[in-house]
Amino acid sequence: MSGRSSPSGSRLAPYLQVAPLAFLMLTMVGIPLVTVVMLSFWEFDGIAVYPAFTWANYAEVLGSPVTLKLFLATLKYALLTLVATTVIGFTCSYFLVFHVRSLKLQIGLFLLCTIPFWTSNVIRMVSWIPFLGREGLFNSMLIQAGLIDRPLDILLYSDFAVVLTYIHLFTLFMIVPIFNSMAKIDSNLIEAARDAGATPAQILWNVIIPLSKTGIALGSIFVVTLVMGDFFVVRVMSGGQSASVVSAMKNNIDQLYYPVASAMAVLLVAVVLLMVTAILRVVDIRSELAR
Amino acid sequence: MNEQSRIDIRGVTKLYGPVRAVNNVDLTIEGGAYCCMIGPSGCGKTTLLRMIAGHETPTSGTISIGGEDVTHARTGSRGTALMFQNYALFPHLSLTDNVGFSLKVRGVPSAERRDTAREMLGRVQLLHLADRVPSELSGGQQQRVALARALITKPKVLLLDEPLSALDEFLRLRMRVELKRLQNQLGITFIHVTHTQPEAIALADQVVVMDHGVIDQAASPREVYNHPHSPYVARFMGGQNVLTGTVDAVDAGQTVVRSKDGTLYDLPAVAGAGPGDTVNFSVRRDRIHLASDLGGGRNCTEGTVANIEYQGTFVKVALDTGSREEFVAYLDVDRYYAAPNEVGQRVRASWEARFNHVLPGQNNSTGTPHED
Repeated sequence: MSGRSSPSGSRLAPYLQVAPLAFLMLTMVGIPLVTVVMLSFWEFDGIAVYPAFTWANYAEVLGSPVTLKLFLATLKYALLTLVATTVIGFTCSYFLVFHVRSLKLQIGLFLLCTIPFWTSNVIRMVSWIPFLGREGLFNSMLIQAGLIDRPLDILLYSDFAVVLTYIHLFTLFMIVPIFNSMAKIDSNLIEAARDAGATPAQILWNVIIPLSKTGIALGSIFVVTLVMGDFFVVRVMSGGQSASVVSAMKNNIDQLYYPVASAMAVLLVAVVLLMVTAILRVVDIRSELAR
Repeated sequence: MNEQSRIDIRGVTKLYGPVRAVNNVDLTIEGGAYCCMIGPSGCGKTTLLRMIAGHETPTSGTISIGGEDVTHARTGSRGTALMFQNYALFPHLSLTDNVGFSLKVRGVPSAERRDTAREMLGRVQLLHLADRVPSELSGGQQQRVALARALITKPKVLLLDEPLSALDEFLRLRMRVELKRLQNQLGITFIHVTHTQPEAIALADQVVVMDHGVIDQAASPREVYNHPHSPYVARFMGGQNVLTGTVDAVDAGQTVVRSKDGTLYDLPAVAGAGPGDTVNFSVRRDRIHLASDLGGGRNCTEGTVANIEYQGTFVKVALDTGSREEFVAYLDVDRYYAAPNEVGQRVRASWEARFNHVLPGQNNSTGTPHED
């Protein structure tokens, strides 16, 4: 379709352009990944690793009932976080795009959403602790208001705290892509739907949601991969009572059980890839982005 | 003709902050008429259209369709359908679903909805593309889909917002014919917003010329073209030369007007004009004779030939008469080439007194006609 931008540009130019990124991806992602896969097939006797092929590591991981529990727990976190961030991300974007008329205010409010990101993840996470703890702000508030007479234990060091922190940390990754695809919706389409007699709910369901699908899918990929790959939030916010796949992996690594940890890592990569593939099957992101 | 789709607009005003987009407009559009609203950008024609469609609410005044007050009725329940300038087709839906959209939101069962939509697509000759999405279509095809989508609700009034402006010249002329044919077939009211004068003249039963939020003239195309109400209408609709003078003498049934350079013009009686008053009048460009013998006479003007364009069926000669506006004559091809003029030549343009048309309206803005 498009002609050569410069007549002197050689065939090599596009390859040179992707070379830096390709180099980074190969050395920083490719080689470590290959190493992990390789390691997961090496023999291990509890002390040393021998470069010989074996299925033993996988047998150990898959044979353990803990593995399934870990994966289910992690998936539960991922799904709860996904649902909550999607709802929050969608409503925030909807408000920004369709209710805020002035572009300046829109940009201003959008930047407000990013303010929490001016501090590190760890600080943002840890700052929940004094708020949610037994003697924390929220509990004392409820007690003083006379709503409860004993502090609620469920608030901190629980699944609730873990998911809450995930939502806090990752909602922006949902807002940005949804906002982006929603902002691209031609306002005439909404008027056209109104002209056809659609109610606001019907417009939302038949026009806005389908046209925001790409953003929702992209955001979902971010959130799912982030939650599936986390161990720190689970460890701190559950007070060590819950574990995720990666935190179990971390335990293995701490005990120098590298091949077992590798096998688990490969399994996790496979599961995450399956989830991303499933998301991509629902929404054809490539063609939607090209639109 | 058709009382069901008659539109009465009474005292409608629309304010955007301090700006009067539409200013106290009264207009009656007969049922089954093809009405063209024309005017430059920002004249309020689109706002008026959107108020009829219900996408805007008038600040004051009432709008009725078929005798029923719909000023505050919900869009989509007032018997109107709007076709958007950029068509506004849903990019994620197939043509069938696009056309059937309004049936879907009305709760028509899926099978019935698809049948009706396909039948509608058949009427605009696009049935073979029923399962495509809009981005796979050409501009002309998209427009036909938009038309089908608007008509599927069987509206009493079809509103078209600059429907032909996005098409190329060839398609535009074809769609123009198509629209007129469709309107004849359906017998419903069409309101068509445009800024193109030939489009309005060719299509409309009623032309509504707007400027600065008010209607300058609403009449049949022949009336608007031949008897413009104000200098603005005369200039905007084109085909006229606008002249100005002061009243010299008032006779029974006749007014004599003197222009700046002293030439006298015999006008019909101007109501309420006494000696010394300023009067605007116009003369059609195709009623002019050019002669190279200068000097004297009434109902004429002198000028230097500024430009000569051969237009196929006529020759367009522009004269510089020393006023701000060019004076243009459309001349018969054979007669012109029997005695052609040259650029820079001084000539006298004259016409019969009966072609002088008084412009009673006060709107003297320039107006830029589109001539395509």
